[in-house]
Amino acid sequence: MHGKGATPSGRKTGTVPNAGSADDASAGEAELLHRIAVGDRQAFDTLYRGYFPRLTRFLERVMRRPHAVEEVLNDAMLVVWRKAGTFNGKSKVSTWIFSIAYRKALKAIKRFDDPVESDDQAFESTLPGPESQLMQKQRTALLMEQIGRMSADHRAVIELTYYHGCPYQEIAQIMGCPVDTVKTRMFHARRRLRQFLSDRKEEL
Amino acid sequence: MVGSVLRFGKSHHQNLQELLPWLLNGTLQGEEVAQVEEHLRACPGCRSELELLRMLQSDYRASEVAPEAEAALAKLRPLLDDAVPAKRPPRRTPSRTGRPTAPIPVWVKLALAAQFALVFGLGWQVLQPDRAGLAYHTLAAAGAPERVAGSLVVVFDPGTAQRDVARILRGSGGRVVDGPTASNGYVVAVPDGGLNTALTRLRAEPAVVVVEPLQLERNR
Repeated sequence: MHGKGATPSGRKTGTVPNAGSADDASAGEAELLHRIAVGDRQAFDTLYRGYFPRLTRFLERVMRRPHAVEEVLNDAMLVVWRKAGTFNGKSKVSTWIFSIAYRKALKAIKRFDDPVESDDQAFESTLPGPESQLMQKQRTALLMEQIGRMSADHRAVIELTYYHGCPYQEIAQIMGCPVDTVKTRMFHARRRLRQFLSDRKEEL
Repeated sequence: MVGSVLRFGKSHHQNLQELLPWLLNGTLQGEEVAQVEEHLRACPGCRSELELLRMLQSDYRASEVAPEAEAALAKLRPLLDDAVPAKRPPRRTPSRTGRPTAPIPVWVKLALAAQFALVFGLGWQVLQPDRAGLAYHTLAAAGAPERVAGSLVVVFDPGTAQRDVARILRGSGGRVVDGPTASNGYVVAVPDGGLNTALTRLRAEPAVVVVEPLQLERNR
């Protein structure tokens, strides 16, 4: 199971990727998929628990509708249960699962006609601290609010890069788009955030 | 590798600047890393950008949710019963070759049924002269019991060699009275008392797709 900071690739964020352990994780997950393909419930439970924190975080950030995350996540994992036998090994297991979740999220977003819920509280640090931490907390909340105003595509690129530590090639696979599109989306998102911070330089 | 990094229509600076987030998350590899790092040494703008990205990444990771999987998994479990994984081991009896059999499409089943009806009708027509013969013998020897030979229809796998068809038919003890049809079917007349034996022998042959009696043995 991947805990805090784990990536779709099984890496820990903020660390240099360890190709060996990532490959081992992917091989282990491929074995789980093989067992799921023949109806092994225990293997499914293991995979589900391993991906639940990462998918929850990813879907929360992409969809911005916390109340719908669990339903969409379960929809995605139901597809994993049904289609495990079709996994062809051309990508990592994590890429395959995240791409399913991403498509489910986009479909869910299209269905929604309710306003986006504010989940700023979820972004706030729970640790009380000195003034600098309070300032960071405030800045973080404002940044997250700004990111929340971006499109789901831009949010997904930011989330997969900054939190899940994905290479841009893997993000392109998950999102089903060219790598140049990933870079361009990130570039535009960065430019927008930079402008936002520049406009609020005084208050931050 | 360089070709995959640099794109026409954008400046060298912008091409490398776009890669900064992935330098920061540690996923850039090989020549890309060398190019970006070399550029950073010469470009104050990109160094400043990298610091901004570092702050963004730090802020972005500052939040963490600790979701509980078990409650959500409990909701999903009942749905798994209705959703069969796409690639389970076949539940049907393996084919005679030992390989799992593929599902038979509906149109194939319908075609086989139509073919069977055609062969059945053909066999029925073939047997009509026997009935006429029965009438004649009845007149010649009134009250004498008559025995009617059994008959069956047998359809072979289209890939079966002709010599194997002949061997199998001979082995059944019957005599071909019609066929082959376009689908490799034959109507076989079987001597008195030999119908069950013929059916058993034919059904044991891997090359036989269908074998069914057309007329039960009976005494008259």
